[in-house]
Amino acid sequence: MTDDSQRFTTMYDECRQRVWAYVVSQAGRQVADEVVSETFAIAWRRFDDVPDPALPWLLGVARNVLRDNIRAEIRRESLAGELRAWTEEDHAEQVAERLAVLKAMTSLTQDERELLILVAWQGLTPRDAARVVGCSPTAFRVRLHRARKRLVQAMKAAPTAPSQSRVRNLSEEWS
Amino acid sequence: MNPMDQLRAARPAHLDTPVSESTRAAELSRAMSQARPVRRWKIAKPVWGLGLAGAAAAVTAVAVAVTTTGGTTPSPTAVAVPSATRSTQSTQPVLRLSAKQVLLVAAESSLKAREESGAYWYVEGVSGSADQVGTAVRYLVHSTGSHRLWVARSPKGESWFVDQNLGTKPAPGAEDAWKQDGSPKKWTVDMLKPGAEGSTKVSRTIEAKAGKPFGNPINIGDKVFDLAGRNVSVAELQSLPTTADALKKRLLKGYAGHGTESNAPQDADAWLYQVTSGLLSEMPVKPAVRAAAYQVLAGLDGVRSLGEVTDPLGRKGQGIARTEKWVTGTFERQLLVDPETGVLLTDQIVAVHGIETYAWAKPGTTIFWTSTTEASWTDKKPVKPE
Repeated sequence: MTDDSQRFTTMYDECRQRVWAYVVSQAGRQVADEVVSETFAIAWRRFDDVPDPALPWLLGVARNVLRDNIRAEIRRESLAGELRAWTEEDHAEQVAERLAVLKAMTSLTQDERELLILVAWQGLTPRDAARVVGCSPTAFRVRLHRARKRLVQAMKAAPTAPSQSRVRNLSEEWS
Repeated sequence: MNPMDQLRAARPAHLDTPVSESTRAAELSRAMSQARPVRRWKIAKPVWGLGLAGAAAAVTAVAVAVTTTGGTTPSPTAVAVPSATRSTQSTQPVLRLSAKQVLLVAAESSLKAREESGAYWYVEGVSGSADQVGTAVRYLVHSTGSHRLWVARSPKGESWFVDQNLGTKPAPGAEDAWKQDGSPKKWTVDMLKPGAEGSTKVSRTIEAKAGKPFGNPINIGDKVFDLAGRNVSVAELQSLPTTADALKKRLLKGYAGHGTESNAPQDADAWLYQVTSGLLSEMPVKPAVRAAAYQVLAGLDGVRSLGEVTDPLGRKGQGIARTEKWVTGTFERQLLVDPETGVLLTDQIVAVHGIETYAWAKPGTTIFWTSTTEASWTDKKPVKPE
């Protein structure tokens, strides 16, 4: 193995899981492997440009791949399935509070959800998250603040709404 | 509980599903089977900062050619080319050729070269860069690196790129400042990386000590170079058009409004200038294609003549230059050509007006350079580092 392929493999092992989790949360499992695979193929081609830490850069690439390479209909369908899973899976183990948060998440716009996910689930700093979505850190903070307010509102608005119908409405809207 | 903490706690467990061994193997092998552009844009990339392991020494090129005024414009074919020896020995003022004349003379000379045989196209060169560093005081350091490239003529052969970081040291005159700074052996340099919305600063560490030679095969199948955004084989390079118009057309097919290595917008002339000089500095093409490439350069707008210029290795050539704007300011990309042989000696980036991370660069400071010391066909096999 050359030094480059070793370094690349190390980066892959460090970041693959988190890139995949991001793509799943944005577009569902159906398309995730394909997007992740293409993302790392691009990362290899442009390995000299990959900064350290690589994760925000990789998430940005994955985001572009998702936008440019996956047909919109397929992405929507896959995402609808994913969001349904958030509120339906493991019902027995879902505590009410978790369920309420996830339900509220599914009612947000894709953009709002993405900002929250980058910070809460990916653990990125606002600066790194801003790089992923391609805006300034200041703009990011403003948008994050708004998304957070929307999340709180959604949690209050529909604490008992049946998850299934919400998600179904959502997927109908998109199809 | 704060809503963000609630959200954190609600993260669906399936997002942590680990990758299966077979998917991992498939993704890694798919990624690494992708063609990587040959690392020949070294001179371009470092402007926004990355990929410069063996960064470099900058020597300010001094372009002092005496220009005659009011003389008649010499025709490119009839003019005596001011070569190194002639210009230093002569007491006569040397005529400064226009950029177009220099390039057309180089084109003529290129045609005189013979087509050579050999199993490998071999290129050897040195590159360098300048950076401002220091915590107690600020001063310049120069870094240099060497590189060797073997490109197999046979589509089945293995092509290799080997480079070596030759180390970093205080620039001439900066030794006192360096001692005042505590004689460090390591420095941190800030770089700007352009993004969709403005640039971000990233840091890079450079070390005084030189590195070991590092090499890797660069061919992906029979593809060995990235020409105008597409990977090409030696056979494809050998069959490039031999007229300027056809060559320009062929190269422009790869132009998509942005740079070769980034998505930063780049105008067509700047792009052609870069792509064509890349072809001339290290690609195995026929003498007639080199001639056509010089003619393509001669047809570009905004190319000016520098007269005689000494390159960082002390060689004299005729310089041409084109202004380029980067996130780090305005720079001049200078090509130093030996008009008598058509050899492109050096490709260098010289500050005109540096800003941000290059605010320190005084006009005329060479911040990056790549000099080619050899480019020829050989039967000698690649020397792979141990």
